[in-house]
Amino acid sequence: MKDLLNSEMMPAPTPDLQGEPRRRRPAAWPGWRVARRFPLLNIGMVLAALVILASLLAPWITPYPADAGAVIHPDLVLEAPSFAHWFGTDAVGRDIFTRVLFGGRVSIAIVVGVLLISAVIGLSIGLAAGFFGGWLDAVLMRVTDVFLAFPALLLAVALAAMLSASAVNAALAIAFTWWPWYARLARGQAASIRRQGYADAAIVLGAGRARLLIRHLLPNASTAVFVQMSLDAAGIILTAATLSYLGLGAQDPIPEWGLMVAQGQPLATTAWWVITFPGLAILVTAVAFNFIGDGLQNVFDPKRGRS
Amino acid sequence: MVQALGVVVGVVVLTFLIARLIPGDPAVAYAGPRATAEQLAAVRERFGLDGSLWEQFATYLSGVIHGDLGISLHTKAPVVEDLFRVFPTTLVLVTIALLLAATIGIPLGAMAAHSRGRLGDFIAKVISILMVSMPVFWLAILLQIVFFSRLGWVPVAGEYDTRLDATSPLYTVIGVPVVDALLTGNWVVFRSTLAHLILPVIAIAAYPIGAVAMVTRGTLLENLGEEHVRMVRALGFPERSVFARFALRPSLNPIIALLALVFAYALTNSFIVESIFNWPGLGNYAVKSIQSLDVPAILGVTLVVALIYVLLNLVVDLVQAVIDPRVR
Repeated sequence: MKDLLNSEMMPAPTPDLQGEPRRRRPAAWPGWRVARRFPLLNIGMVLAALVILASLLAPWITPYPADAGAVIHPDLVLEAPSFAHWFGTDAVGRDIFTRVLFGGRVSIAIVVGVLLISAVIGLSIGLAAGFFGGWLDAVLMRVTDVFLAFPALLLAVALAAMLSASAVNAALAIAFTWWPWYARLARGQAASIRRQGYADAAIVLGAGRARLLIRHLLPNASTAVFVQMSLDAAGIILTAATLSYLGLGAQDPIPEWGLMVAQGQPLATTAWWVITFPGLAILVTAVAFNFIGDGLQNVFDPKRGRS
Repeated sequence: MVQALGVVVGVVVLTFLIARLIPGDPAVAYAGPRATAEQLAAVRERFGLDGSLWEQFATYLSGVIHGDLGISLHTKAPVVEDLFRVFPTTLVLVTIALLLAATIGIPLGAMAAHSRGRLGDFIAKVISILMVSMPVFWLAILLQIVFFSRLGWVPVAGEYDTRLDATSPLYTVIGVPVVDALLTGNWVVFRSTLAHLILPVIAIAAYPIGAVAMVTRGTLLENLGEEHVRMVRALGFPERSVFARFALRPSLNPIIALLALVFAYALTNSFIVESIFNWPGLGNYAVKSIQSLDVPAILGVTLVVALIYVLLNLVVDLVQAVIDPRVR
């Protein structure tokens, strides 16, 4: 089959006007050509899939699932990476490989929670502002501006510092600082779509405001929101890890990556593995989502140039 | 201007609300869990916590306007005095980091745009994304371990080697050792301060390098596609001057806007980096405040950083108008 496609049946490659001779093969699946043009998007998706799978399957694929909780192995303290413990063991003898995989669940839960909360709040406020305009728009957007005047990490840290330290409160604090971006995005989309002919057409046809908002504005804003979400996933993971590194997020027996780095910091000069692997997990996950976000941005907005 | 003022008022309101509407009694936080009822009442009266929310806000607002942000719990000094003491040190650190980010990030982005769609572009993009995905606290600890504990190339703690005070005492000019040493010509201390700066600066610069490179690439590509660039190229200008004079120049505007944004980001990242490298600046102060649940200090830092951010955005608008008259 492959030979058939490659040989005589194909016409000779014709160089296009840009001077790039390129052999065009029929695609195995329609998205293939698009996919091949965005290698980073692919790498990102593979990495993200690996991270998500590994954390979802953590109870079954980790060698010592019990080590994700409050267990102590006094005889296994700070063992270097070996076949028994791929990433070594921590200060109380827990398997770091196990904890890193379980840590993925915490991070993914935080990302999903923050994205859902901030997208719902942001979209409602932004669509309302862009759709109704007038004083409501002015008031809502001034409030949004105030939130945007704080660097996200700063506001999240201030809030989390006031709340009691837990993973849920950290996620709430991050969501509280994150929604304004969605509000602004949705407002821009709503305002621009409102001026399009089909919005008028829908109104002429007797569509109510609610219908226009839900059937026409929301779906049209969703592409931009989706790209934003994948870019944000990386930022949320980094912010959540930073909060728990500062002691404002998940607390001890919970295997959270930022917390693991914080706990390993005093030991890191002698036991490099206690901080290296949790940190790498944060880096790899953030890179994966940034690759995806960047790739999607290029797919949907080719003007910015691909690579 | 009016809009910026509105945002400033909003920032003050929001900071106040964070402090008051969160569960937990600030008076209890200040006086401690074992305080008696009389002590609590005294604390309430002292900080204006006994009135209604509006009265409390009025007290807070007049305090902010008069430059009174309360007393820090962990330094026992007025928060405003603390902030004045620690901020210059951080400003030096973050400014040097941003200069480094611009000198690496802009050429990196330009190289990417120049080799668009080819290997150079790919490598530049991977480097940029790695930089913006790096957890700062992890990077700082790794740098510390590799370059200090293992290799011993550079010192890590504080601003300079205080043992040098015996041989070449440092005279205070503005309170920031790097600048003081430079101004007083104290080269021994100056070298020591530079060595102490290297690692924190790299840790803080990582994110800005990636962000600047990506934005530079994006805006350059946009400009390279514009009519005027094509025309200049058609007129036979050498590629280098097409690139530098006609495409890079109009790209400076978004890059400057980004630098302001990144400044705020770098300022908050300095929280972590400073506490890891024991750098006596705003970030270290903020982290110590968080660890000791020092509410007035946390809010003071939050308010000041947000105000700096608003101010910076205003400055950026003005600078942009100077560079690009179309913005006016």
